[in-house]
Amino acid sequence: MLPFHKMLERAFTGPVCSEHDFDMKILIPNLRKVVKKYDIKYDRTQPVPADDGLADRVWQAGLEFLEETGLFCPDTERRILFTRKEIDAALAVGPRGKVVGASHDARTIPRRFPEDKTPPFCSVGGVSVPMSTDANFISVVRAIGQNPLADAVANPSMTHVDGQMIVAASPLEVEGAIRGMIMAREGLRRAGRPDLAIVNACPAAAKAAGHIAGHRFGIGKGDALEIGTTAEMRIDFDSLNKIAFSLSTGSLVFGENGVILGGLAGGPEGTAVLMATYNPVDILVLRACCQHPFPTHFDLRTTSTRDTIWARSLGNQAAATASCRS
Amino acid sequence: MGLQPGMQEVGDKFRKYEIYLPEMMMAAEAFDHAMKVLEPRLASSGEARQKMGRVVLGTVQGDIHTLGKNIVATMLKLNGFEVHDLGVDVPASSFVKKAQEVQANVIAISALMTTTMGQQKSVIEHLKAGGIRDKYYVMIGGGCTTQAWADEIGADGYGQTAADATALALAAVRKEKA
Repeated sequence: MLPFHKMLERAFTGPVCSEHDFDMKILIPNLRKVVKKYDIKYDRTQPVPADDGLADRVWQAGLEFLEETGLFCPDTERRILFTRKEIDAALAVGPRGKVVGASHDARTIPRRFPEDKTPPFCSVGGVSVPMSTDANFISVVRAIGQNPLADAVANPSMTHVDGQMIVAASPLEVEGAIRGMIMAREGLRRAGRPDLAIVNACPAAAKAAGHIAGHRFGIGKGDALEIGTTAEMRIDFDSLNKIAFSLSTGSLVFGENGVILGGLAGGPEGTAVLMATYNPVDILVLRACCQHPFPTHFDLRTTSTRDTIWARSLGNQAAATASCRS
Repeated sequence: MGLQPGMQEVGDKFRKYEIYLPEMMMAAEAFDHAMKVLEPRLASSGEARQKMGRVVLGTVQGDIHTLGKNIVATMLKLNGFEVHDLGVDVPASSFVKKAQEVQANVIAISALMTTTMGQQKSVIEHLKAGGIRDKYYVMIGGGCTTQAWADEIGADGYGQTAADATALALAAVRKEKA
């Protein structure tokens, strides 16, 4: 697979492009083109589609879109491009059976294929749910840890440190990241599962400084950093810093793919294609051990509308079907 | 003007989920290009484009989320506003400077996260410190924000959706003109 530093080099040497032109002249037309070319049409009567042909077309559309579009780096205003050969090579060596957690709480993330009977990997938690007190934070993590179905936990959110509202990119965010890790470990200890993996060891939205600080205070090799693209097909230096750090420390990465249905992806068709595109993006760019897709409706702010479920099901089916063949 | 009904239709279709942001952005671009051709001719014939008002908007410092802001910006443009989009990760003072520079009617401040919503308050405090708070209609929005938060920090309006934001801005400029 293309080494990380080679990928990074392209953020400095790729074609120069303004953000406006990337959206209006590259991303939007390319996505619309593949949706049309591969005849991808939303069917609201089938929120969980079972059409293998459609899934194959979504997969092909996703790969073609990635090859023609690349990712935009806002810090350098350049495009990071990949050849089809590089994309295929990454898929061929993508993550297989990664283990998270440690000792009694170690769990393998299974590869699952369409209609697979293997139980899914369950990370359970209160992502983005603000906790009113530190005691509540610990209690919630403890309760999640006690859930026998939990293969891993996802931390809730802290909003204050010692009564002060956490401010992004400030020292308070670093303190929050440290405090959050210490409290999450304490919650898991009280649950009797001290080595259960934490898959968002620091919130994805926190800056790299928070991720790095949290590492010193309890993020282990069995935990994962949740790292995502900063917006559709964009990756900034701060996210790349997190990836570089995780590669050096051996922490795993959960690839966060929160495509916004109704945003730059357009409707459910474009969202499904982007879901498929993000599978190789997660391997090539985020260096993720697992894809965490959650398309969200732009207006209703939920992942469970009929069209977001359709896009998510189809994108996952497309990637899983293709994965069967690799 | 002949373009306005088409733009309103675009806005209506967006509200009904019949089209999405890409189509809205393309419509707004087409509108901008058409105005570049039409405005000199309007000016030479002694007429001028009727703008609803000027809006300065951006996502606050520490927050790089673009989407909600972009939807609001596009909706405002489609409704005849001159929009000055400062982008993301915008310091509080930049909102104030730009609003003064362009003589804005409205300042629209977006924040998605609990860790960045405090910066919305900071913009208002900067306006107060400059003694110019009352010159602008200040509205806020973003995933973690609420009407209660808007009230707490002294914002004039809170929009949960882009349609809310547009309605607030329209009401504000109409009130100002009345």
